[in-house]
Amino acid sequence: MVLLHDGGPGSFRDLGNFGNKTKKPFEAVVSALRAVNVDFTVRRNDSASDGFMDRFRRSGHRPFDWRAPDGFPDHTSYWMGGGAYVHAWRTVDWVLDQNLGADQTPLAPVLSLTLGEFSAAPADHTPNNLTNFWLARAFDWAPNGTTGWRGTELHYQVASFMCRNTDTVTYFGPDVGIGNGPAGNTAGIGTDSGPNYWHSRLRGMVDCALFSPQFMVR
Amino acid sequence: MGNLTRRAFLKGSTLCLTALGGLKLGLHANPARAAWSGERFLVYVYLRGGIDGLNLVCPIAGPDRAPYEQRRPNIHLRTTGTTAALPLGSTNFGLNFAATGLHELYGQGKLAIVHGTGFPIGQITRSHFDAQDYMEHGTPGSSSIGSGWLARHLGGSGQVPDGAVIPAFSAGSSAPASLLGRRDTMVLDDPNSYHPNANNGNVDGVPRYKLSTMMTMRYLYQGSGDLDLAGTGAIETVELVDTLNIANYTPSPGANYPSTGVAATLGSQAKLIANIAKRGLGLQVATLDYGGWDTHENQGDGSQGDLNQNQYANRVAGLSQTLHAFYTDLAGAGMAGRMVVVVHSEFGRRVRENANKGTDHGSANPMLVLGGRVRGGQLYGTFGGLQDGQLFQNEDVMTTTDFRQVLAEVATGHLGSTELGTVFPGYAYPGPLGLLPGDPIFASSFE
Repeated sequence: MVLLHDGGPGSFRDLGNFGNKTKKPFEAVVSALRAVNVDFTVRRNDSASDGFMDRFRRSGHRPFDWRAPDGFPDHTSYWMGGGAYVHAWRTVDWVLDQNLGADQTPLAPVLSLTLGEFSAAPADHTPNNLTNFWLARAFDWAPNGTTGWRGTELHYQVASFMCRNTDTVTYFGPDVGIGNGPAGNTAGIGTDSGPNYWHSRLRGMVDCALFSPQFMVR
Repeated sequence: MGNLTRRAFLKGSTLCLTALGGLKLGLHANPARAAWSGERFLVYVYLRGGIDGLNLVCPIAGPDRAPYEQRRPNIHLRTTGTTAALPLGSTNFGLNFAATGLHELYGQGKLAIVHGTGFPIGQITRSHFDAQDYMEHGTPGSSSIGSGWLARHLGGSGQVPDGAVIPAFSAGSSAPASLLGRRDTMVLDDPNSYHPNANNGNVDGVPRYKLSTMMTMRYLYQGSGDLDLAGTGAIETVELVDTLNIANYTPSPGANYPSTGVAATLGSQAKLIANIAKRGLGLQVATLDYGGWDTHENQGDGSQGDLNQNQYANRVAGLSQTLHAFYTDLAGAGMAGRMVVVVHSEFGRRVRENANKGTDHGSANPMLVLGGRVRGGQLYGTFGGLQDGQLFQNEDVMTTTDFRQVLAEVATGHLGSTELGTVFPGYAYPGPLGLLPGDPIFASSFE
């Protein structure tokens, strides 16, 4: 499908075409940056910028890499190859996991946005709550004004990631507050030590939301 | 939900080795390729920066030797001593002293050298950007076509066999312009980091949430729409790298890839291509880049045998060792006849060395063609000469062979292309140089 124009039936603005336009790698990465409130400018001779571009260019969508005047292909099918997707996702993942500067400030404020949304009480930090918040934030929309994304397959699967421990079989309750006790559940969402590595897992959960098919379409 | 072990997950996924035939990186449904061409593949090695081809293959005797020494008083290759050029049979030419691996392959009849290749005279450019762009698009002097020549070749009828998992592979950080337009190219430089959640720390050497992420992605993309299939395809490429244990690979005996120095990366990437090629995944085309050839200064004195002090020779040594290892690796697996390696660069350099004992941008250059089917041990093309009146613009080795003639012969004679008009639009192919034996079809009674 080609959706080059923005007016009339069959166009990008035609609601009947919602979801039919696939994000190119650049669009997927930029929209992910927006979703996690990343303020990042690519600069010359900057190690973080080099790290970003090193991953991003592998997606096949490095800016200005295609001959003018046509630009990169607009056909949806062109961008549906494994390399474009995996490398776009790797770029997003890199952004979410980077800590920069002497004080190791996270490039993507995933944790601070999360803590800013919920009370400090660990009882609120359940996988289901966290997932609901991040899905609503990523899409700037939720299918239900009251329950948000709860009850959807997307919510279920992303929350399942948050419940699943590393690559083992341990499973955390979807409505159990992270770090809310009793003994064995005292490490909060901001901690990143074994066995749960909650901060890393939170970032990984946001990854999953941003890698979802719902996020890869426009 | 949730409690899945790695074993159970892999067992349940489509990625069992026995099912690889149904796995594709893209969504193409290509007709079966002509049986005669088998599973041959091309490795297109690009030397970025413009290699000084005249110091890779130099005159060691004959009428061009004196002007060669005269125009390169410091950097010319010697004919005696430890840095003497390596004679190419009974010809008047020799290889750089550091190219021992290539010299051995030439002596075995596996390496051919084509002299004086480049752009048609009227379309010569000494700009790195323009020359690489035109060359890799296969469209000298024209910017109207956006796809690369390899991509157009692969897009030809029957070029990618049904069931090909990795028809196009780029070992490096990004696919080159020659593959622009081929969306199912697999770009891979480090199998350990080819994963959408590779930055979250490791547990026992494995990304902490690798399996969890892949499980979730599988569930998210479990629909049947195009996007679901594309996402699943992407997930399967990650699993493919993992399942095939690509990170662990043992080359054939005697294949000694460089692991240190300037060619360490080149060596690991070439090894990766050999690894993929041996897996039976339908590889048709692979690309490999090796930069650092823009030797404007202190290229290396011709008598300097210490490679740490001779940047050009050091780089040549890395290239030579890599290609020798690659050939040995594939030959050890009985695949020498299936591979052709073409070594190419955007241009050669001026015949005269500059004041900084380097060389500036020029034009014509040799191309190297390596493979079990290659009629090697020979020089092809015409060397334009280094005497007065023989240089292009009184500066460069004269271009006598359009680079497309070499590529077209490989495309037709090795890969079985029948659509040169699409691969190299507007190019009037004059026919093969004879680098490869005749097409088996035409060697049959159909002749």
